[in-house]
Amino acid sequence: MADVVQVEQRPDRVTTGPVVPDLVRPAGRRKVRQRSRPLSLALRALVPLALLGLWWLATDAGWVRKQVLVSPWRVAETFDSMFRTDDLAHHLGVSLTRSGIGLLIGAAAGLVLGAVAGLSRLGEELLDSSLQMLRTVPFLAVVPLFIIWLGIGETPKIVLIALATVFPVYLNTSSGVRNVDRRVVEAAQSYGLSRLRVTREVVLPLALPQIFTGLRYSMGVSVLALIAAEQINANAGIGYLLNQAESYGQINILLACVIIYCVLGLLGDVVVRFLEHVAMPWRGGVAAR
Amino acid sequence: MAAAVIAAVLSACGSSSGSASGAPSAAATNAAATGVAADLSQVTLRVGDEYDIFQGPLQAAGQLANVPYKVKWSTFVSGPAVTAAEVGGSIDVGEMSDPPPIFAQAADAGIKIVGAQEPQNPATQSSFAIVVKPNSPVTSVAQLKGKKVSLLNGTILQYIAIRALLREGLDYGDITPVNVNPPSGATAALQRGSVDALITSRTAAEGLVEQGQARVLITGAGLSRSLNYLVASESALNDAGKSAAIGDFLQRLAKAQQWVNTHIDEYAPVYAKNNGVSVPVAVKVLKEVPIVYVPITEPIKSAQQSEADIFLQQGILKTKLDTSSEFDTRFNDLVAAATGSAGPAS
Amino acid sequence: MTEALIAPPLQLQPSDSPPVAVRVRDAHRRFGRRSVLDGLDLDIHSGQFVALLGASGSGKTTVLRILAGLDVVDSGDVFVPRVRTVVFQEPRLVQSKRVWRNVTIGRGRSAATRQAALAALAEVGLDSHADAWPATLSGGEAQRVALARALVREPQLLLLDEPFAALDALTRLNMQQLIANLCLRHRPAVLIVTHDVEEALRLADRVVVLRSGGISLDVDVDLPRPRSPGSGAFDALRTRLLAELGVHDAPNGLTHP
Repeated sequence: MADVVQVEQRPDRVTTGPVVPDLVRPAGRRKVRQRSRPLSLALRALVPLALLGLWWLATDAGWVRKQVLVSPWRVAETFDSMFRTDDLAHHLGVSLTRSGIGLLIGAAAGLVLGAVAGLSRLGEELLDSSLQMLRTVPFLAVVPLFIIWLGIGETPKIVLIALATVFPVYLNTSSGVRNVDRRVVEAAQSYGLSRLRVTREVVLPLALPQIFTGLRYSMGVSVLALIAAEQINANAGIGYLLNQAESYGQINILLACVIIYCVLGLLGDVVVRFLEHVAMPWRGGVAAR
Repeated sequence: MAAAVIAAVLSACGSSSGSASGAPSAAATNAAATGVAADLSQVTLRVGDEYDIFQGPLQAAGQLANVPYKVKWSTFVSGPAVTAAEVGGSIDVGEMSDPPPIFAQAADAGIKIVGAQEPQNPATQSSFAIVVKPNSPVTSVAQLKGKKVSLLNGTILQYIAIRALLREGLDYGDITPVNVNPPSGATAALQRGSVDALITSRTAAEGLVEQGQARVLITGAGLSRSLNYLVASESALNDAGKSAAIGDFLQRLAKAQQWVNTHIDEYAPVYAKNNGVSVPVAVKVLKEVPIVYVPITEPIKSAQQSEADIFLQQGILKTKLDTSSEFDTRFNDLVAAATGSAGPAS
Repeated sequence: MTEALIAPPLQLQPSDSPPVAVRVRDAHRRFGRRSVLDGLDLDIHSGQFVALLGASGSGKTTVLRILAGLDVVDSGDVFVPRVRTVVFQEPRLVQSKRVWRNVTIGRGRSAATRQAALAALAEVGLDSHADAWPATLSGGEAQRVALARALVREPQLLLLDEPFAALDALTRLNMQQLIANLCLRHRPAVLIVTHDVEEALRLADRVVVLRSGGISLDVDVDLPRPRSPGSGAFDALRTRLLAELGVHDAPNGLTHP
């Protein structure tokens, strides 16, 4: 090892001589430590609980007239009576079945159409303009048309919900597919995958995160569309209850239904998170550097 | 509607429309009685109208000229929405038919009926009708047994259905009520044959008849008084200025309606346009169902009470109500003076 | 001043010289107004490790993409072996497939396929990561998986497009060593496109410099392996190549254009 230069350890690693004037301590920040799960959950619940407290205070202390805003207790009472005497569970079941079927159909259609539009230029040219129109159709206003074409049974309700849920899924699917890293697709093709296999094994899985965003939005829309759909000859359902409460000016039932919608929104989010976890096991890994 | 509630809450917290509800102030009742009040130029009367029932005649009869206070119009498509707006304090007076004040009373909302309009002869004239398809085998209400009838829960349409069936010795449960919103949807359901009969306004019914799409089975004559009410919020009534303005407004409504009845040909095009029918249909309805403003008297009060009782009997209302507290008769003399009539005897 | 080694014509091929794996004749390629390849001729023999150098925009990546089948020539002839694979600058792994499935992408899931994947991963030292998700790998590890993916098919032509440019210097040195060993073992024809003159000299049997749409320099690297800077012949070649690329190396190691 003649080439190796002898390197001596410096004995004076630390000096005691004069220093550069104006030395300061660098103002660094400690990184935020990872929060514990209970704390995180508590933070998530904080604002809703604060709003609940504000609501209770406003009605209890008489800041608002009771005709204007009923107290949380009254709403809780209303829930109780709705569950027992009005068979709320049945209404929920009917509504969720309707919106569930409509969502299934609409989301499936949106998925297929979105994939076609995202994968092929021709597909996009043929489909996109029609689907963009679907976005702003006021479904409440076309209820009479639906009745003429489809009658007053379950069909117009489910079709209305399905149509309302197509667009968010379509938009996010086509966008997600188009935004898949072209370089990965090119590499997969260079390794001999056919177009169909590339679509199925590379493009669609990598578009899943955005597809799930579309699904999230559609779930909300499917439940909201119930209000319009259940104006067509319904005698059960959450939308029906809401419409009835509106006719009779029953604010307490109205508020209870709004709360039900809020809860459905939260539950829908939980469901989608679970589905994401199951369908995309490869996410959430941290690269070890 | 949910949005209206939220808006009402927000405006109620910062509401500036007069004093809080309580006993009406002496000045307010006094002002109402004499019809004269302090300078009204600072008062803005916020009116909620439905389908131009108020604004149409007022405009055409020239009653909106030289108004000593400001009038601010809002549009609604249902009585409950008008109630909500009044409760929330965003309007002072509004239009609604007879059922909404009943449900408002059940919900303890602070609104009062201060004015009323109805056909000249409610026993033979009605603003509502039950129609069937022209070739329908149904020729009487009794034959509606077991059939599907389109109506809207909680509205005058449902009430007419109940009364019509009771009159035939039938039960409300003998028909299948079909709730369809909006009204054009209900018409579509009739055309498609999804329902056998449709309860709707007389104007809409005559329009369908003219187009050959329907035949009138019966009108609502004798079943309901086809009332339309001017309803005010309690806080507006407790404000002297607003109360006086409301009284003046009611007089103008009464005079405008009188003008309509004597100028049918002139008013018909306005009415036709507002209701989406042809001018001949408008003329027919205006002639056959002349509307007048009347002081609130016993026949009206007892009709309202029987309506509440029937709703209770059918399970639509949960508690017994004394509907006389829905009315505030302070403007009765003003209406009598404006129309030259003491009100319906029956 | 160009010195070009003309590849021997096909008929006069001596019997003990390895067969031609890549043949390019008079290739032309233009993008819009810019002529990137202007009558390029190139032969690569089986088992030969060729480095393609050139300034940015010289067309070296275009040549690689044409040989890979990812781009086409406007005119001219191109002949390549059937089995050829590419290692790109980014690993380009499919995040939704586990590591071993990425290695054998396009093939089935049989036990035999998995064995092949494991063997290939072992060669790059990652067989313990066979069932991991690509998102959990570091840059160097992911690129090694891409390498395994390229080699598991036993290609007759291996194309490397600046494969180590995105890695840190230490990892790069290790990868160069790995490539050198793997190619010695598997002996495909190799074309590596690189900016790094030292990398080219470390790995290649032959260095080709691309300029103005054609080859401006084509030299054999006849140095014994393992090669490292510091030996006279290495540095001489390095200086010559840099000069060809328009970079002049000063004695103290600092370069100036």
